[in-house]
Amino acid sequence: MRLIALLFAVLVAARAADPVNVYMYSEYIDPSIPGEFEKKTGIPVRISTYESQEEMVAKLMAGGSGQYDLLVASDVVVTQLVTLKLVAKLDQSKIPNAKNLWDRFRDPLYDKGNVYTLPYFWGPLGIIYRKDKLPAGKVVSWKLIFDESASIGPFVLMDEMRSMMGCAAIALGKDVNSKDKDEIKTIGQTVLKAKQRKDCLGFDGGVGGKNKVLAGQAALAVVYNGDAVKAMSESADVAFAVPVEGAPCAVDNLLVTSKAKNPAGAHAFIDFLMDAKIGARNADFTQYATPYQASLALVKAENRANAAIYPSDEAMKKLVSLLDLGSDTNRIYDEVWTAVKSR
Amino acid sequence: MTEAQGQGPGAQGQGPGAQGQGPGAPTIDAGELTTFARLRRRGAVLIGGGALWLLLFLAVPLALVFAAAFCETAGYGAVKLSLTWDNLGRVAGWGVFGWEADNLRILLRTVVVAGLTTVLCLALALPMAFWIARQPQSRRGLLLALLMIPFCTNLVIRIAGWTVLLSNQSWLAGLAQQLGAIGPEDGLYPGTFAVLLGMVTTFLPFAVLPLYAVVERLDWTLVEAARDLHSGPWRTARHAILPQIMPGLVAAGILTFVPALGMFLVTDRLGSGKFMLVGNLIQQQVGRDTPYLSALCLTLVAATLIGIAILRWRAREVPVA
Repeated sequence: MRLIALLFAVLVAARAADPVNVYMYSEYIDPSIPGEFEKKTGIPVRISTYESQEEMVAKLMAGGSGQYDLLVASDVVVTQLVTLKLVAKLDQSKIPNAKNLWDRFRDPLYDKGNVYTLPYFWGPLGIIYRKDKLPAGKVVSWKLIFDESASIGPFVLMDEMRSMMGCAAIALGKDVNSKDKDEIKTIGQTVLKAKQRKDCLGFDGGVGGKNKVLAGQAALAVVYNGDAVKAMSESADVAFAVPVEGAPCAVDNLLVTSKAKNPAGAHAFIDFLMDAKIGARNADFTQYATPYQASLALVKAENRANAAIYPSDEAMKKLVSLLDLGSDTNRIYDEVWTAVKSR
Repeated sequence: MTEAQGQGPGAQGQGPGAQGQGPGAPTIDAGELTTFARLRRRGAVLIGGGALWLLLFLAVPLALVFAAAFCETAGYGAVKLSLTWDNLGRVAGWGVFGWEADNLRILLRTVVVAGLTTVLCLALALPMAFWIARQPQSRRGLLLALLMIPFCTNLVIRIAGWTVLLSNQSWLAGLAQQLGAIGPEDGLYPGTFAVLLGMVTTFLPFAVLPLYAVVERLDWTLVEAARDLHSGPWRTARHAILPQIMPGLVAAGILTFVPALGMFLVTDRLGSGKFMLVGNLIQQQVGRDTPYLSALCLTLVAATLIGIAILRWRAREVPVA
């Protein structure tokens, strides 16, 4: 009898603490934070990881949205998630720490009024390069990639459609979110011309690109700043800069799924992550930039001063967001990208 | 008819063709007195697991892919239940810019790369199979084990290893630079050479094993007989050896060609994504446009079936695949 009572108690305890299931990039959170959240609220956090936005969206579309309560998703897929009804509106009253948000990340173009999203981390694209290859006094510009006469050695392009096309658009002085068929084609041809050059080492993800630069195989690579910061901590021979013309900037967001089994827990965890101290600690661990104004003052001074993590105000003014352009325009990008990669 | 009844097993009332016997009638199977109904039940149990597996994880998904390939896209890659040929048209090259040759180029490149991989694998595997089969019994196991050992390492890791070995910083590339095969600062990858190298090393064991199986059982008395009858080396190979190893050649060809058609990892890594194969095109569409993705998969399935048909063309009696 006592055993049954004990079993019952255990079951009740287990039910009382429904876990929050989080779906995010791997190594994208300070691993001590979930435990601290559980200690404070009694809600355990279970983290599942994905390696790409496409993988995440595909899994959710295939009916996986009930498996997760909280998502980390990039700005560029937010509209898709909303349109496909895979995410629910946030209950702002349950997230008082949303006040900590940095003003420039409030009300983003992809989610006016922060109805569905609150930012998690952000980071610009840029160029990681070997210091010995860049002549003194030469500024980091997209010309290093797209203009053959300015080449400083073998380079790696980013194997991510909108990011790479966005860099080419900026180099051409065009809109990264262009919906014009012919303009998109022109942008694609710029990438194609770079790809067909002999000093192009092809496409790679951020990790591959930074590794090739670290190994000396490439002189420069297009990567997100997060990968560059890791590379710079491994070697003093490399540096990172947002090119003078500007760059696409990604904001990763926190969202609650539409079929969440524990939406209350998900909201509580969002609020916890947006706490000034927790946000700062998380940013220091992951070496990504926090979008929380209140955390900004609390991050380690060396990180705050690192221009690869927090670009200068001037550079930040030239950062642009990649927006979801709707499936018809996505198809144009898709076909242009296929041509870029197959020719 | 009466003659046949007098001679066939059916006449003794045991074969399935026997007249006037219900499923419950007694019969003898492998020395055991049993009934047809019981045999049938036993058969169903034994093949049931495999059949269910094939149904759930092959037939049903393939039917869904087939259906989705003819459905419209409802924005963001969701599937809308209305019939269209658009996806197949898009596979053939009709897109927002009119007709473009890119997809056909990708398909052709895929077939050429897979075919070249198969030919190279067979050319390398054949001498290896003969050599291993002619070794003393005690050594063959070891040699086959050596052949399989690379499989203990995950493909991703093996390919990552090649990227290190072929990069412009490695001694191998340094050697090629010294010999003037490549430019002074170039590496051996990305490029066609690296892709083919990666493909061949990935699929070589698949070619060696079926070839080894037939070569080991080779009837050498036929070869001796051919030699006795003054057959030259070419005619001996053509008439005494080739017909015997044909089943193994076809099996090796299919086991290499079919997975090579769908390969995307090698081109992605060792080709650095510079050149697309169908596998890469499919991978790019995951989570983007499901109906188009399905149409691409269907094309790959069709290409696979055509490939198998061609390989079996000369060897219809081959039991595999």
